[in-house]
Amino acid sequence: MANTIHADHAHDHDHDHKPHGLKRWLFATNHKDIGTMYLVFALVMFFMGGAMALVIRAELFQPGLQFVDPQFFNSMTTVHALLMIFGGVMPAWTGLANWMIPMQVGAPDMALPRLNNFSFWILPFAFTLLLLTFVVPGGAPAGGWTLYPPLVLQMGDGFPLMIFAIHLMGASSILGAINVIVTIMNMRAPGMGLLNMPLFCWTWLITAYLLIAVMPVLAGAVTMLLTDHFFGTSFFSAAGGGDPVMFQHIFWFFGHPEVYILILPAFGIVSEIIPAFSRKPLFGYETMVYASASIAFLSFIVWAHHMFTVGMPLAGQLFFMLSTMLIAVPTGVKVFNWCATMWKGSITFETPMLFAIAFLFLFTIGGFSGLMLAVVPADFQYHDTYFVVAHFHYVLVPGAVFAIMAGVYYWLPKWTGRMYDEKLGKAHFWCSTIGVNVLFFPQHFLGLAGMPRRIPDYSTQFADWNMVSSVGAFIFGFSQLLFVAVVWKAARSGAPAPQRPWEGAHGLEWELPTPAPYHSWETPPPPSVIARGAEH
Amino acid sequence: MISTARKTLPALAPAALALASAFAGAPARAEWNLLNMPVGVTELSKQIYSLHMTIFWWCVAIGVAVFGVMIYSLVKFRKSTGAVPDTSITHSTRVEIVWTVVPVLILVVMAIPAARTLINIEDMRNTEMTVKVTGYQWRWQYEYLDEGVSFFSVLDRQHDEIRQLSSGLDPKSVPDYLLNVDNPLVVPVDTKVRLLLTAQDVIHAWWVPDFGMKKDAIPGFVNELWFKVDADKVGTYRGQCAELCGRDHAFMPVVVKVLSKEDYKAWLAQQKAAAQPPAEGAAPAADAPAQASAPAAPAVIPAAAATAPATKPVASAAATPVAARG
Amino acid sequence: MAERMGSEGTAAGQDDRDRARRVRRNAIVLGLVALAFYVGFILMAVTGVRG
Repeated sequence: MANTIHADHAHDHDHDHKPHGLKRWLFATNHKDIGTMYLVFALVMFFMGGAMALVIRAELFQPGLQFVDPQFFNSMTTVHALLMIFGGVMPAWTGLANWMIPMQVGAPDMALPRLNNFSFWILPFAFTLLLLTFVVPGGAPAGGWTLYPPLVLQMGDGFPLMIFAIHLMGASSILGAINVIVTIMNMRAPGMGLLNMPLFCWTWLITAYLLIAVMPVLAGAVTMLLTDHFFGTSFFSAAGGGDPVMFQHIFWFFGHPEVYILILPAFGIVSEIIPAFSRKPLFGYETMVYASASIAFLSFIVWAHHMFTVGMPLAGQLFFMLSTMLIAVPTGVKVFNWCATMWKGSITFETPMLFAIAFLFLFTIGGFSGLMLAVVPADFQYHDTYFVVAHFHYVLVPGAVFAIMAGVYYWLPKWTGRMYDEKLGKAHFWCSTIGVNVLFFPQHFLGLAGMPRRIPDYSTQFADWNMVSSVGAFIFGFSQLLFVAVVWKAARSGAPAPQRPWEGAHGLEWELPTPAPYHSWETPPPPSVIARGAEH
Repeated sequence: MISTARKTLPALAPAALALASAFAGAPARAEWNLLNMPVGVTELSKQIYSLHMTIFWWCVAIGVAVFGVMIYSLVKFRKSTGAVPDTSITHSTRVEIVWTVVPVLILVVMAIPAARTLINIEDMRNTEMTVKVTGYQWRWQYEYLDEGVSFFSVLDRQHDEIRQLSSGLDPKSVPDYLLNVDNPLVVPVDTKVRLLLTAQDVIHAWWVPDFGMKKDAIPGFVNELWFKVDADKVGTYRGQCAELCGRDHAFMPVVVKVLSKEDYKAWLAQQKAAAQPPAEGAAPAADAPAQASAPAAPAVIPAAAATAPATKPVASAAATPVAARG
Repeated sequence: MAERMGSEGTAAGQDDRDRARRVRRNAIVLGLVALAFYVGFILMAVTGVRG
């Protein structure tokens, strides 16, 4: 094993024999190449979804319709959500899993490299189909990403394209999840026990099980929509003896675990970055694992809190209120453990840590509004207003997306062998953090004051806060160009990075040379290295 | 679509100017104070408001504690001030139990009043009158059961002109932009009113923030909700459809006019009188909802004409062209 | 990957073959679980079970 600081030796080793040119990417079976493709794909999707968000915020900058037709506006909100969830956050997590899991468990690669290639290359086709709906008669999906019938069935010729795209995204996610589980279960280096793994591997393992359990449920739901539309069934049509509310139950049985699919890997990343920059082991490692598992379990029994207004029996409303409140307990435990990790540490504030700290504060704010939303009578007021929009954007943007960016800054030196520009990174952090709060915090006020979500035009009383929110959106959106600049500059001309660029970082990835060799651990790491890496 | 996208960029420049002027010269307006949920005018809305504030203050208290610890740690344990990590702190079962049990207790404390309010919300006994509300793309129909009064409620025509894409008309030129209709739902004050909610085409949601309640109107199913406006709260209350229902989801407001009991009786008598001649034609139409909109329309227009003097000048001005075009 | 590592010697080769078999079996089982969820939920809807 080449434990050299300068990676060139390992890099030029004859074991590499990596293909060049287009073939390297088209037929990629290497976990790093596939991880890179996933991350680049996710970045492209973030920018496309972000551009749609800016169309939304431009239209909402002032009352009256200035730029887009209401139908196109509805397409923007719908496709923005689909791109960000299925094209942005989920592929970004899979990309990070591809890069990091083999390195972190002491494996040479993912267990199923060809399946890995397949699961990535499904995605560009899936999203091409989805975006094609913009140019077919009837336009892009405009019924909300939740696809509620009967509204979704009014869609034009794009309907089957959208359904097929969602099937493909689901298939890609399931294959990616199978690969993660099989890798973690079979490819760990000898001596690497499950409870020696870094938390990112743990939360991803739990996420992967969630994916396998719920993506097929979504696929089933959209298949039923398809047969309702084309083959005369009436699963969700009251006129034919079906029930439109049943779709909502099935959708949210997928949808709520999906929320945790988006956030659990973030918990994992933050659980590695906070100890690294506090120079202190993670507080309560095992509790963190159990808390993640309980969150995953509870996520299956809270789905109906997304639909309190559909008219459920009293007992059902009480049950879902209590189970939803219960999720706050393991989530709270995690936040407390992160606090305890920083307690009596020795903290420095490099960019990854800044993003992790912002995650801690802002995700907690999203958690508070989530707790408020769990209170059913109050939810009758909050439901389908901008309060909900503020809530889920607080957990998804400064939650999941900030954690992705924290992870990229944290591991970029290991990937590229070069350091990013710390000043530019910090500038990106401050612009993003200020932008995101100016963008989403006023939306709490708008929702409480009575502004429904998914509307292209609003009463003049909501004008002021909408204007503020739109300004925040443009600040946040354009500061992401800085992110691209930072990564580009680091990859091109960053200063060479040492093997362990962060003083307090633990984990097997930091025992590999920098940049990490093409095949990560061709010989499993010896027990002494595993023991050093597993000092959580 | 492409043309609208092209229009976006140049059109942003005036938007930026508008922003600059808003920050520089605009006088402080009441709208900035719209920060919180309305207390509302019904028994339920007040209970909901107090629940909302209770849980809000709990969150603030927990937030002060948690953020306090975080900020203290970030300030106190900086490496730059010479902080040395105490790597012996790795876990503590006792602490973990404490911060599992304490939140559970807080949640139980919050769940009890929430459950009590919820039981109250679901209590449909002793309602004094019932109105059937049907959502259509994109208007509401109100049917006063047992009274034979029924009408549609559509976005005010003047507002509808302003809201057209690039209409050039100023939304601020009308009061309650997008929150005004031709025929509001009219109910008496201090009366337990039950609404039966359903829809004709897609799912809608009926919501008036001041009443505290929102519920989905689902095709093929009937939901119910109730409200009872306080005796001293005669007035007009406004809300919107809250469930995405297609292109014009933003343009089907809910407006409820709350009258004193006497005024309501007079209004109802007037409605019945106006609805009498065409009622025989309209009644079967209500049973065949597929054709409801066309034959029911004549029944609506006399109703609109009858209410016009009672409504605001804006609404009555708009009522004239409706009748003319009908 | 299996081939690459299988060339290292008979004992290690046997281990790798075992592992490859295990990997395959696990992956197939997980795939079948996913398929069962898909079919199961559609059947649930067909038979009219209310969520």
